Amino acid sequence: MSGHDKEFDADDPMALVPAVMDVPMDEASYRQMAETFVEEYMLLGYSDEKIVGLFRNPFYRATHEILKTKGEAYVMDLIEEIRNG
Amino acid sequence: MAEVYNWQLGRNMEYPYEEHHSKRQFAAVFNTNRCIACQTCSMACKSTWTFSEGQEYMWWNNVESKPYGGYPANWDSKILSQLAEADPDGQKWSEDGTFDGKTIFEAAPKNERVLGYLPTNAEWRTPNLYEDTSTKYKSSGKLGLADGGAELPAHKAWFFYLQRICNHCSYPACAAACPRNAIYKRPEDGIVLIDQERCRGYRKCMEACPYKKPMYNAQSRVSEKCIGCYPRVEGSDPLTNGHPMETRCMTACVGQIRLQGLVDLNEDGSWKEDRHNPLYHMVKVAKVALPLYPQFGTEPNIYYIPPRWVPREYLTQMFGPGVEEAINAYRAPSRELLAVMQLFRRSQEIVFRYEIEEGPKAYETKVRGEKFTMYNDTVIAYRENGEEIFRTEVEEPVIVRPPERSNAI
Amino acid sequence: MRPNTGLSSVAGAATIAALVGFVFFSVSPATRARAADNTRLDQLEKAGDLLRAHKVDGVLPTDPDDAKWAAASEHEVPLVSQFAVAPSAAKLTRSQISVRALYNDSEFALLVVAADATKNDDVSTAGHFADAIAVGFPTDYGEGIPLPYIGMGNEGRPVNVWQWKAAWQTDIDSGYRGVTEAYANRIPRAGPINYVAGKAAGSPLSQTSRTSPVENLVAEGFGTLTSTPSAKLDGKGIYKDGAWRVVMKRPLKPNGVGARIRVGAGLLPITFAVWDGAAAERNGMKGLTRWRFVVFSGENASAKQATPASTVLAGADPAKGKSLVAALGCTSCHALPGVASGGIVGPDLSYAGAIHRPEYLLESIIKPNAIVVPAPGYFDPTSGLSTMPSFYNMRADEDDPDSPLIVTDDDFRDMTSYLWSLR
Ligand code: SF4
Ligand code: SF4
Repeated sequence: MSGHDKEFDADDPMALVPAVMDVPMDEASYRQMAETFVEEYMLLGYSDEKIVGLFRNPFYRATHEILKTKGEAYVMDLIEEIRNG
Repeated sequence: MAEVYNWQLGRNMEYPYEEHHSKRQFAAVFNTNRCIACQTCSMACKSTWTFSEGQEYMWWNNVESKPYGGYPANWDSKILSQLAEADPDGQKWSEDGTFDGKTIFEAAPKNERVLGYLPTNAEWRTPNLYEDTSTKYKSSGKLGLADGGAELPAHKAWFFYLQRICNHCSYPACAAACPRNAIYKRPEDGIVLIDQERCRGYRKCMEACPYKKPMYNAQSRVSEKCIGCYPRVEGSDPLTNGHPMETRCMTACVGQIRLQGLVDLNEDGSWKEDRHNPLYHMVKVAKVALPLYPQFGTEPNIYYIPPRWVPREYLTQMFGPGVEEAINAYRAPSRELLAVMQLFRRSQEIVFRYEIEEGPKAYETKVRGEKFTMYNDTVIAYRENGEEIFRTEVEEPVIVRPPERSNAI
Repeated sequence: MRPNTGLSSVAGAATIAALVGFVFFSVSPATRARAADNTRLDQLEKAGDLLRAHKVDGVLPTDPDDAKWAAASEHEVPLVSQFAVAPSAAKLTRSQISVRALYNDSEFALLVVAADATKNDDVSTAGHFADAIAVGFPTDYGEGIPLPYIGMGNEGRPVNVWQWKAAWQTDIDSGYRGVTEAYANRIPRAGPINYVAGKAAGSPLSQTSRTSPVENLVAEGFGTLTSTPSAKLDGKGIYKDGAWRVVMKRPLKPNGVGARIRVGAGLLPITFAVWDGAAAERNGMKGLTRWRFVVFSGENASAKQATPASTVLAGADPAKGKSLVAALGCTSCHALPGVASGGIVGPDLSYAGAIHRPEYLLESIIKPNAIVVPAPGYFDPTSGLSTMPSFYNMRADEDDPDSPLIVTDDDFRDMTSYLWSLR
């Protein structure tokens, strides 16, 4: 029996207990999350260029992940939309 | 059952005891948008109150990741499904903000005073199980290690941190369920306590509290719960020379997301108009903070600024019908709200009143096509006796880490 | 071995005494009173309301296996789930215990045997509850003193409860079971045990050294149960072959607060409760039984304080009572056997006769406010009056005092005899 199939046993002290959480990610929720990032930065008074920089910088994991997954055009469109409504 | 008025539901509801209110109510606002899940609050509480034998599993304060986690596991989905079962398709809010469904008191079976369940031992065991886990995790079956080595979590979907303590409810389910009358709500501040001498370890409170905050102590064989750090709230801690102080979990908050205080109540339990009490401002004026699962009916007193990136349907289930309004108030804060939010965690003392001194314009920007202006106002916090505790400004210096130190800790 | 109950000879003697009293009823008032007492005892016994305590020489046994218990009569006592007040069992169930009683000039002891499929003595996790057995007495009793309400007494009529706890028995047999003992693989803590709030507050449950597995309690209504030390309230429970065998004993005079047992002064009212830890029973979730009476064999005490059902309900017709109960609409609030959609407003009466005495049942129909059970829905919170209507003294025409009564005294007794038959 592979560990993957093993029934969860609350009393097994050797069991590592992470779970695979396959939360379905629909486009709308994803966009909402991305919008929130951008809006927060804008409220701080950041310029568009500075915000794009935060997407390009791999040390900003969340924003960078969006750029990696969706591409530069998506990010530019996002910034444009949040800036001008 | 008596009829009591629950303002969070906008209607009367059934409760085993007649309506009575404390003179003041312990209350707090938690800004979920800012929590970093550092668990400093949890540790502050644990190292103060629950470090003894029998308290090993107790986290009077816990922070869980929603929607994945819960302590005890699945506490909210369990009670929500019990309610849904008791009132199929009925658990709804009407347009005017009245709750049309059943509270845990109204849905109680004949042989109980409150609808609830007793969590299993396993459910208490792992406060943050199933949270923050890599979606890429694959098991080889050997000691549970991943095939390609472990990968760091990469959250592809929304989640947020939910900070939880006892809500020191206005209509406590724990007290309603206790057949011993061992649980009481203090008239001076509304803090809900279990009398350690009268408790007989029946665990009806554990069963009834929808937030699962009373906990059984296996060493003493009686139940305990969050005590709202009442010595601090009373001002008996020497640190503040007799002035009321916020609880340990509040004052330790690294993310500065918590502000706790006392609100004055009218005889009917409504909040006395107190325009310059920061809690009154946030809950009643700006309406930026909402109770957790108000539909349970206990009138909880911890108010949450909802996380703005989370699907509204989920948030409405959790915080009731005011979600959209609260998020709007938060995403484009008024000049006053912005100043009030600066009161969080500048002092350990309870802020009874604030005043704002207008300052110069800091910057102007445009968001969603609308102008947003930031002013560097000064907000001044006062004690109960009118003395100033501190003053602080809205603008904080931003320090950008230079590229050569970008990965430094 | 089944102990010699001596039942037949005593019952025989009572019958003869009754006859003697009848024949020579003018002989002497004392003889006549004696005869009346014996008739009462006989009738109480027939209704299963009498427990005979036998006198033995020397110290009373604390050990359930002691040979002295063979001298005591064994009485079967049925129990039903407490169902009048929430929290209560989700489902009504019946069970049975057997009881023996012994006494001497200074002590009183009971042996209770309760079948239980599992031994539950562990309270070391939030999910575990332990078995327990309790016996209750009115703190004060005697002729003319009404019995306390069966559930925890009522205001002005306190009860004294002795509760034997399986968890406390284990504490005594093998030491207090705290978390250190319960979790063998726990990383040991350096130094002594830290502050334990319950213990510091003086909770009797938290005390780590005990001398008795039996707790002494007094109560004067729901939620008022209070632990109060009583030195020399002792006992011992043994779990064997699917049953608890539990002894509880105490000097006749309480050492502290409690019922004073007066051997020569009449019948001792007594009741029992059993909690099954496996079913998470605690507090009001328990098996309960109605007031019964202990008679001290060999004592010439008056039996006047107890009224046998056959006296209260003489000539009453339970079948007529049943149709009256249906006709008057009682079932819209109370659940009763055979009623499809039994009411849920008032207490479930499916086993009314198992937990209430007939005089209480009669009183509560005639005067619902005599004892108001303080449970939500049962009374009006403002006036404190019972929500149950009374038909007492109600006439067909309100304004005409000569019009017939809606419910006559005989009707009330018929209804009571029906409820009493629900055992
Ligand atoms: S201390 Fe504050 S930021 Fe840290 S987990 Fe607690 S609530 Fe969140
Ligand atoms: S949160 Fe639970 S424990 Fe706290 S007052 Fe409310 S019902 Fe009681």
